[in-house]
Amino acid sequence: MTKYSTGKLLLLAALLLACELTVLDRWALKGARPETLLSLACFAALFARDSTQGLLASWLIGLVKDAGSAGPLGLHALLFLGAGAVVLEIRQILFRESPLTQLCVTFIAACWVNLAAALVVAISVGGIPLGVIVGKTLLSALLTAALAVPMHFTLYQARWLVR
Amino acid sequence: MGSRRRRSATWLLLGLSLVLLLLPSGVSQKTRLSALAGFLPLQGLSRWTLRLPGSWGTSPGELETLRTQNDFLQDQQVKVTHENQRLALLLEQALGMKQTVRDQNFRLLAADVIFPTDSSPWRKSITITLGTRGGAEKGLLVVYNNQVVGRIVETGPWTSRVQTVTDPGFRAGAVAAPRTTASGVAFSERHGGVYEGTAGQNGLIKWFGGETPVENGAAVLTTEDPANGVPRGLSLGRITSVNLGRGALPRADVEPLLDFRSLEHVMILIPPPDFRAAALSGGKP
Repeated sequence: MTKYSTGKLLLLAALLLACELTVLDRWALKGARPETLLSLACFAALFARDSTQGLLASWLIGLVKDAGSAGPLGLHALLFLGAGAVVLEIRQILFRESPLTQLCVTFIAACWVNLAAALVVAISVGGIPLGVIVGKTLLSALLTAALAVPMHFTLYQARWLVR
Repeated sequence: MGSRRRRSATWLLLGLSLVLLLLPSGVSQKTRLSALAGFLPLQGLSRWTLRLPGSWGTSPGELETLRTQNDFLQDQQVKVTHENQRLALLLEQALGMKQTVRDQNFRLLAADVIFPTDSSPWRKSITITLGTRGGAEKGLLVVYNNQVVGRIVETGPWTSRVQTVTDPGFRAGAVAAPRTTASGVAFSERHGGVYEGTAGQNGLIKWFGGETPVENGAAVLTTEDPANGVPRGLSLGRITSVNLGRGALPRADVEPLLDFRSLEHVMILIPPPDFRAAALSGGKP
């Protein structure tokens, strides 16, 4: 499958944002929770029809995430765009249907987005202890990567969800 | 050709992101809080689904009609009981708060919580169902009972975003009241410090005088800050550990007493006009 509808993906992103802000926060582990929207952005970049669609979808999903945050508008859009651009660049040499690929790509993307966001917050509003940054980034990236495999599998199998 | 298109798309979206980042916060805040107001129906969705009939297509005989009426009345009773509990909770909150600020004429506005958390792991905020049309204003303190929940940082027409006390951007003057003397402590004689959030589950109090005795379990209370509309004596949390460290002044971890994820209602604290005016003019309130 190499096609999805960006509009449907955005609807799914809005639903996942509501889940992230309610249910998933309840199941947070030591304050870290899986970043469902980032998993979706990785899916968007890995399985895009062409690079323009992949970039646009990643950027828009980041913008949806920005809607639910007190941080500056456009920050997650920018970070997701960066992650999406790298995934699009390297996906030709990846076996993207492999769960291991999805796991690794999402883990690295989650580390990048979390670390960069933490840096921006630390610079703009105040200090976050280094221990909190490292612990939360790793735990959150692990949870996000673990969630990415079943999520990508579901979206890959139930094509009507995104086509 | 393809790579040129990709490059131009990347630069275009990058530029758009930068424009959004540089937009005046007043514009971006209103836009996204209005977008979040689109999620308001979700708040009542789960309650609404409970009202749906369990089965469809049965013929409405007399027994069925009576059963339906009975179900309806039972449902009404449950609804009224829930509403009663909600109002009792709001009253309890208001009374608890009034005890703390009874002689200062603060006004309280009740608001429901839509989202009890922030989508960014590094920010801590909640979204409430009261915007500028309901009287919410940027900078107002939000409380639950006599516990500080946070401060309003963004306002839209129907919703507002509250930066909670664990957000790294939250700061307030605070004092640690030892457990043993909490009832009779005089704030004016104690060395105040600065409380700030850390993006983790706890906050931090620092820059309080080294000679101030601080122990685990001590309550951390606000000190009066009329310029920011903060009355004294509101609870920020409890000290869980004290780090004397290498610096001149100790730091202490503060655990909020509230679980923000469980909040359904909060109160917005509106100071009387003379409270802020007196502070700004340099006189006593």
